[in-house]
Amino acid sequence: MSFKIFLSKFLKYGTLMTSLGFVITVSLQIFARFFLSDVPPWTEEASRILFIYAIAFASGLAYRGNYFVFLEAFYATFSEKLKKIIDLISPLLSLVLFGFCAYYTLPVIEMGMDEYSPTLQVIMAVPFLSILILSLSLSYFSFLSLMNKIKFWKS
Amino acid sequence: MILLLITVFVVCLCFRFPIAFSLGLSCLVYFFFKGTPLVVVPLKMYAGIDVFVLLSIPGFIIAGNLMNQGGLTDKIINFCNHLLGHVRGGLSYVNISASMLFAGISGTAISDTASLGAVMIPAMKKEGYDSDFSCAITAASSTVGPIIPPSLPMIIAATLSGLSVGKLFLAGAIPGLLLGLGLMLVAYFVAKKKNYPKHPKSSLLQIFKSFTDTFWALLMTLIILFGIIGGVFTPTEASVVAVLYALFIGTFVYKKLNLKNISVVILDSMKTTASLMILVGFANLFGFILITEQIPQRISEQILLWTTNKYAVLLLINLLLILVGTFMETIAALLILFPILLKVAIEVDVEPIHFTVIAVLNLIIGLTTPPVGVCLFVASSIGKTSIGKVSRAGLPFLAVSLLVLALVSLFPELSLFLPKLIMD
Repeated sequence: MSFKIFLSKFLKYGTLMTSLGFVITVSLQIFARFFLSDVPPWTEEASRILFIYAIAFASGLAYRGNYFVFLEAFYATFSEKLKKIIDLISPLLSLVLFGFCAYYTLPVIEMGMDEYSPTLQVIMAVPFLSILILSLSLSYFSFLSLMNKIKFWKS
Repeated sequence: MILLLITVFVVCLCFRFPIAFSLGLSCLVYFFFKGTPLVVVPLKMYAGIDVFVLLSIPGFIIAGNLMNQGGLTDKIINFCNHLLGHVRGGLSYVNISASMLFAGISGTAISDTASLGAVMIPAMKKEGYDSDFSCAITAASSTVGPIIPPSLPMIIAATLSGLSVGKLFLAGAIPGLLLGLGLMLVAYFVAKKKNYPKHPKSSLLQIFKSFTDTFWALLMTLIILFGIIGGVFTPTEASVVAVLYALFIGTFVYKKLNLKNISVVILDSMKTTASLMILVGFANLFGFILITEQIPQRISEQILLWTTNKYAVLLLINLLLILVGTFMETIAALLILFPILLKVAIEVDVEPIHFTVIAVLNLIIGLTTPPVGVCLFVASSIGKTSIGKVSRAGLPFLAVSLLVLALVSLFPELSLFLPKLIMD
């Protein structure tokens, strides 16, 4: 199994599991409100962390599936040559952006090692790790897209 | 420095770089040259996404997609057809009323155009309606969706302003109905002039049967709306109730859902949500820069130097938002401009809830404004006709939409009546 397929499967199942976890946690919150004497205080925090992880896992897949909206109006007026150059620059810029994001998330995670979330009492590095996953997966798929564009450019 | 931020953002946009990434990259360049520690980028991005109200977005998207997977689009169209198909140009009304009902499920204009257009445009063409009219009415009617609750732009606006989601949902109801009725009025005159066909009248039994087919789906909208307004659920809880309800109805009533297509729907919905949330995260960063540079205050002061007349200010804001809405996707435009313009509106005594409805209405009208309204593009590609022809056919619909916008801007009670009546 290639790394690309492994990563895609990891992100896919990560998205599904965390989304399911999110739905179950919020359902538990609703159930507790109506049928138990107390709502567990950790449900809100857990649902937030699961939500952010679901976003982190899904973002790379969203990039690969062209889910991000862009402005088409001006691009359509450009010459074919300019379009080709822009198509090459776009994944490169994405790679730069999320490469920087990934790099600067590391100190954030380090800061989070000494802080604890209020109700779940997990170290804050855990939720911050989601931004690293998001940035790394987007960087990886930007890199693949860049490689494809270079191949296309050469051909 | 702020000029650098705006320049990088605009250049990236023009070069078809995703809007979310354009925001992120412009902020990165700004911080880099300003010497701000770049660690602020992931921190602010995280803070932008970690907002409890935003947790309702994936739920609404998943519930809408699950319902659609259960064949809801066809059922809604069938019901509207039995109800209104016997009037001359009946399919036009079916198109608009289906959009109004579908609005409660999907919440975004572009997905309405794509989902309903795929069924309605070929059906209308087959019955002899002009292709450009069919596309134009589909694009125009889909703009009702983001106004009628539950509405994703309203949830985003609530996050940005701290207003109640329930109140914003209610505030959009009357303008949404007005817009739908206005579009029907235009369709009536066009159908009469062009002598468009009508269907035989359906029996009460047929209408009732088609209603029972759609009833379960429509009930979901009511559960969401009254759950939030009645204070039974938070918006996030309401969205998860909608997901559980859609799963139950899709599996046991419509019998169209199984484990495989449920996982496909969830995955697809989460990808859509992820693309939105990255936009929200970077917009938070962008907003942080604008606030530290005091841009909202400066723009507000500048506008108030020109005029302090409430209606003149609203007119200026309307023109700006329609122009931006023509080029840019609704939620992206809302994230960038709403916090700035809200400050200006409050300065001239416009109610924040009233202003939110005006802002959302402007941006969705922009989606059908020539030459580059996104819904026009989607509809014309489904109908395989030129954007120019669709734009021309859409002008009467655009005129009515602008009239509704003017009414909503001039008469705040159209937006504020229901929130005051039910929630104050």
